[in-house]
Amino acid sequence: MRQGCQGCPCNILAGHEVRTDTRSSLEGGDEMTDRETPKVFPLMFGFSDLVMGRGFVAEVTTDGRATMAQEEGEWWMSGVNPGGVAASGATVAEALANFRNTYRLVLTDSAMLANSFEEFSRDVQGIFASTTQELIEEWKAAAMAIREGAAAGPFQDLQRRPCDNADFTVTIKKVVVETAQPKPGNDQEFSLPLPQAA
Amino acid sequence: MSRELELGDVFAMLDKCLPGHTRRLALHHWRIEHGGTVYPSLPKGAHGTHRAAAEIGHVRRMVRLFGIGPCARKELPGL
Repeated sequence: MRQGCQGCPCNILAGHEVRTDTRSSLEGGDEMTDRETPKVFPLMFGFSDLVMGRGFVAEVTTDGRATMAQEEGEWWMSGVNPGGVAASGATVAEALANFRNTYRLVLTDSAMLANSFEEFSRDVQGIFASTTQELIEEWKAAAMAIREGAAAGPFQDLQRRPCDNADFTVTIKKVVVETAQPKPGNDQEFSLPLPQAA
Repeated sequence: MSRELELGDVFAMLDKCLPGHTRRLALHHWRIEHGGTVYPSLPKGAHGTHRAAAEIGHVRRMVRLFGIGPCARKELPGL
């Protein structure tokens, strides 16, 4: 299943640039004092997972959307697509890592509940499609603020991508072991919308 | 660590505010489903505890996803 992103150059899986220097501003100093810094940040993420189920191995690649906000002293990363995946952390870095791990465990849960690849595929599609217009609009508003120059706060070192909508993609492929080929890992990558050019 | 709510109280709230939902215990999480919408990341709570609990942030997000805020806040004050 693939959805969204028509005409939007936001497929980060194609380039999968992996930054290794993104943690400096994520590890600490997360308290926001700048009035121009938004309360809700729009994030994009690209994950690729191999999941083992009953009689199948599946490759799940995603280009998803989430928001990040502080709540009662913790950072909460809340999925938009998938809208039912969320995780928290004492710092931004911890919340990002916990979201990645929760997402992986959700896929594992899905595989363990499914009796076939087709059932797993339908279930994962349903998980990604679970969202609300309110969540989408919140992401879009936060993205617009960043595009219009709002401070990126603790996310200033994240990669920026020119994507201004809340569309997503999820691709679920059955892996044929006999024809599988090695390929570079494409683990977590988080990014923020690119500001509009002046 | 944010505040937690006992899962028994969360499930009682769901029974009242989200009739017809299903909940399944998977290996790592509880999955709550209703009308094709899935919240698959509700924590199971600590192993071996009699009163398993979930972070209130998860409950808030699940409630928001299912659009049952007014009812849920009535059933779970402080949500």
